[in-house]
Amino acid sequence: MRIEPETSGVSVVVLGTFNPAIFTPAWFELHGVLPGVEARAELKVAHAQVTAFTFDWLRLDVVVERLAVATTEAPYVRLCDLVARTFKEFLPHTPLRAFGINRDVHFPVQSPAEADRIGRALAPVEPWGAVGRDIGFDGKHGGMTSLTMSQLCPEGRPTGGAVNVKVEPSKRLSPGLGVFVSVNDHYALEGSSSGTADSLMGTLCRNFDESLSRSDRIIDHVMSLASHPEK
Amino acid sequence: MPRVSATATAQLTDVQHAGSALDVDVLPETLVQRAIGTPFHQANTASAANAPAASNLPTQVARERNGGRLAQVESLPPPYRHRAPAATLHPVQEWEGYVVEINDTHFTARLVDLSAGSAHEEEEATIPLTELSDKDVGKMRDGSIFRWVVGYERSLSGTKKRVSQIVFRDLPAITPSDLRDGRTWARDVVQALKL
Repeated sequence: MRIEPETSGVSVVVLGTFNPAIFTPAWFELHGVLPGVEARAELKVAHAQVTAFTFDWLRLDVVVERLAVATTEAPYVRLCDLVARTFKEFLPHTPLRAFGINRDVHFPVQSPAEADRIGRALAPVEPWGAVGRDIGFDGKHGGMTSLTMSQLCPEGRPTGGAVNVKVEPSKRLSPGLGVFVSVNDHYALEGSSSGTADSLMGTLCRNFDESLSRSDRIIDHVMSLASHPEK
Repeated sequence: MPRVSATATAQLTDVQHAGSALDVDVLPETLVQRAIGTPFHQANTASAANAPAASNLPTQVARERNGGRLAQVESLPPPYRHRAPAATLHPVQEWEGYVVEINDTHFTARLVDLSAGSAHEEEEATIPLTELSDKDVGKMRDGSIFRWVVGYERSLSGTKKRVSQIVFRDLPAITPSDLRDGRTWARDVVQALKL
């Protein structure tokens, strides 16, 4: 990326039907999926409907219809390996229907005007008429607050697959001096039906690295707009 | 109020508003409400006035879920507090490698430069064992696959330093369907090459 992110991370979110109570540090330790997790994890909650803990590089949240693992520390492929091992080796009959590979980046800009250039390149103010004319170029009079662009059924994926890109001013960096970009790469089974974990995990493993590369290219392009706005 | 709702999209929704996509204290409001029997905005508030409510939660869980038992509750969400960003390691260069030789002080590996988009190993490196954790040294074998990342680490205090990290992969075991797919692929190759 042409601008080094202030913070960045990756998450893998799997949709299906889960039993959150089993996804405890003790369970991952027992199966050797996360060695040392039982002693060092910070358990937030373990319950029939929600389990959450953090461990070294990992954050895990599970509710009945969703499992999410996230990290801010590369190599991100650890998330893929963790999810694939969990469902291919130990829970192969879990009904799964979709997953997303999500990349999030907060990157700094030199000035509010630079952030505004990105906003105006993606969402020009001219079509907004008088309202648009009143939006200044100083970051103090508004501008784009959130924009999501979706590419549906990319690369021949089954219906439901999508690449969703969201761009917003960063709320983690100083006002006007940061941009947040989130890329959600969504893979779904045909017809929104549940399938075996085995097939969906195969799709995850085959696509994980390329998905992150594609997300980084998208984010890098957004970064490029800070200095070279597209006309 | 940070919240994540189950949606049709496999994404952590409202990620920014939760402080980060990676903040730990983000739990679905309705589920937490159901689980702990306390309105989310009360249970997740750090004010002293709400602390007693949080400390009463086991009783409420017991009353609602277990008829006086706490068997399903191992821990409860801590009172909400603004979390500092987690430490980050942003990769600048990343390789995937496999071990071809191990001696007392070093190991040799063939590497695929993922950052350059390579698909095949084109480099070989000799890496000191001191780069690895004791745990990884113990389980490393010929053929072990690892990721090697060089990047910038930002600590919780904001300190930035360049680091190198090697992590051995825990790949899933090969399943019968993997073997079936492999046989199918091999058959297709044989047919394509007319062997």
